[in-house]
Amino acid sequence: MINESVRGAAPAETREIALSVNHLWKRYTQNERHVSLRHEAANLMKQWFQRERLSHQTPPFWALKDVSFTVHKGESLGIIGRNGAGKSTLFRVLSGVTEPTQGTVTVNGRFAPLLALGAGFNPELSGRKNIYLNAVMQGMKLSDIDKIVPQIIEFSELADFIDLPIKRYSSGMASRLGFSVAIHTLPDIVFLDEILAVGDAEFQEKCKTQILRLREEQRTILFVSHDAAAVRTLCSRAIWIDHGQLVMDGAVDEVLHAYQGGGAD
Amino acid sequence: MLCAVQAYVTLSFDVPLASTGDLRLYAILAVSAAFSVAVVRFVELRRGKTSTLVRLIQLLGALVLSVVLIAVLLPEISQPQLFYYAVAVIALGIVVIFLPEQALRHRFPNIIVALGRLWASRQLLFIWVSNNVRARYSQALLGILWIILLPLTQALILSFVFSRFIRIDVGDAPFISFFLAALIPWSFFNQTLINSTGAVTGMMLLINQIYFPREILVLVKLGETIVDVMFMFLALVVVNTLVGTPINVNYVYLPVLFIITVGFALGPALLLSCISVFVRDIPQLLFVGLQMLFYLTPIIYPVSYIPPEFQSIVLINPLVPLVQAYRDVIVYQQAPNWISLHYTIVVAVVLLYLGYIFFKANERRLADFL
Repeated sequence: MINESVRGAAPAETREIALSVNHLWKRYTQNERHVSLRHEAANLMKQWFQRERLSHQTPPFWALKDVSFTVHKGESLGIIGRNGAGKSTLFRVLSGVTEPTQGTVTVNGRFAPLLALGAGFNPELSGRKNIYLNAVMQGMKLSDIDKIVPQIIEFSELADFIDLPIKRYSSGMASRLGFSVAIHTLPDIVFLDEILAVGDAEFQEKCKTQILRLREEQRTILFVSHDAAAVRTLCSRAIWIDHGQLVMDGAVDEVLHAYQGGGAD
Repeated sequence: MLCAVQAYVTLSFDVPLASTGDLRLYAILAVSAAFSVAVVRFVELRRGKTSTLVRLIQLLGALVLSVVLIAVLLPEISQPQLFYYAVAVIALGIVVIFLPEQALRHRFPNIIVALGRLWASRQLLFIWVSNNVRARYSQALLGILWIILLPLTQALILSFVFSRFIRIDVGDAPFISFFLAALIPWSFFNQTLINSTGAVTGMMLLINQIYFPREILVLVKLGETIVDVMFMFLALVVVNTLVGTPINVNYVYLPVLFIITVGFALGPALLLSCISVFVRDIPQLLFVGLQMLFYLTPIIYPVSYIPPEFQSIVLINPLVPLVQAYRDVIVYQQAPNWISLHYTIVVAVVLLYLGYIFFKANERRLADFL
């Protein structure tokens, strides 16, 4: 199934590769958790007195099992799958936040994830200052940011509040600002994770239009969502991940059909 | 990697004793450096990759050679200085010999690449530090006041107790200047370490979503601490002028001393910020450790108060020469003792190297510990 669909995408292979994932495995060991010396000492004492091993080792959990796919420049790829299927882990590995256990990831170009709900914001500072901070974090140069700040403020519809500290914003306002920054920093590869949950219906429409415009500009887009309709409008190709494995890779309609038919309850 | 090893073997001979203005020193340095490079090259050619034992023998040979050279060429060098020198060389040597193989289970990070990435993110660092500092001081005007007020009240109470009740003889200088001069580097060190434990753990939400060189988080905290210390220093100048130890020409040495202090604090800060993600009770342990270190460092008492039989133990503490140097400049109005300071510099370099390597090796594991 997978092989076939890759062959089906043959015309795209003349284009440059934006991102390639080769046999990616990611394991989370349960041992890899915070250690507290106090607990360790207590456990040691218990073992000493009870003469028995306290086994708290749980088997390792494979969040990703042998995932391989390639994204070409200008392609928009939807990633679907149920909660806990491994989509977020995949993105975390792609953005370099965490290391793969096995396999390789090659990214050509600047890759910027959209920061969720003001994670990169300093609540004490004004919206404007935070635009700068957030955009620099996405890898932009200060001189380039100066040019896009007016556009960001306009898009976010926060012109009246932009010099107020972020801590006075509602959560909706903060995420609108975050989205506006992400959409204007224009990395080579745009990574959007469930972003359409941001703002009201009107703002969501605006976001969709903006994403479609990015698609027309031949930017590479990776889009994660539960919303099948959104994936269908925004993406040309989709991959379906379940239990850490790549189930299907192909044209968006095909994959969504299979996903809704067999995968979703 | 062997190149790195070579560079560090070479380094171990030119750090501790340089810059006293004595030409014979440079002769010692040149001979030892040439010797160590020659030995490393020779062994490499003969055997390919060198084993730990061979490197250990190299280190011992080089150490003996340079100590002999010093004994012959600089007979007037004092015993503590020779001791500092030997400890410094051994510390560097241990880093060179054991670190590459044993201290790291993970991939050995490439320092040059890491520093290149950090340089590429300099704008992020700059904007982050300036934002945080501004947020901190615009928020509360009293914030600055607290930063100055807290150590000042401490200084006032302690100087009252120790100069009136428990009489500590510090010569002609007023006790409060004597105490404040040492308190500045100490509180910087103290604050940097305490802040570092929360530098990474407090930013987990961000770490989990986007990649940037993580040491920026530590450097941002460091930047804030530096600004705080600047304000404290201003307070010190005011107090000193009031009690009669005014600014003197030796203050020009202070920036150099401060750079050494920053370098000395940064290594442990990197190490602690990373470990406190994996081990959650580091802040508590650190508190105990810093408390001990405070009393073991001559901050509220002069070095001469330490009984001779304990002197060699207390002098191992690399903070001692540093605190002394601040006192020399601020209280006694003389140039610091650079030879003793070389020991601190070497320890700082070693700690910085270790801390950075450790930090970079574990950087990508941080997000898995959320």
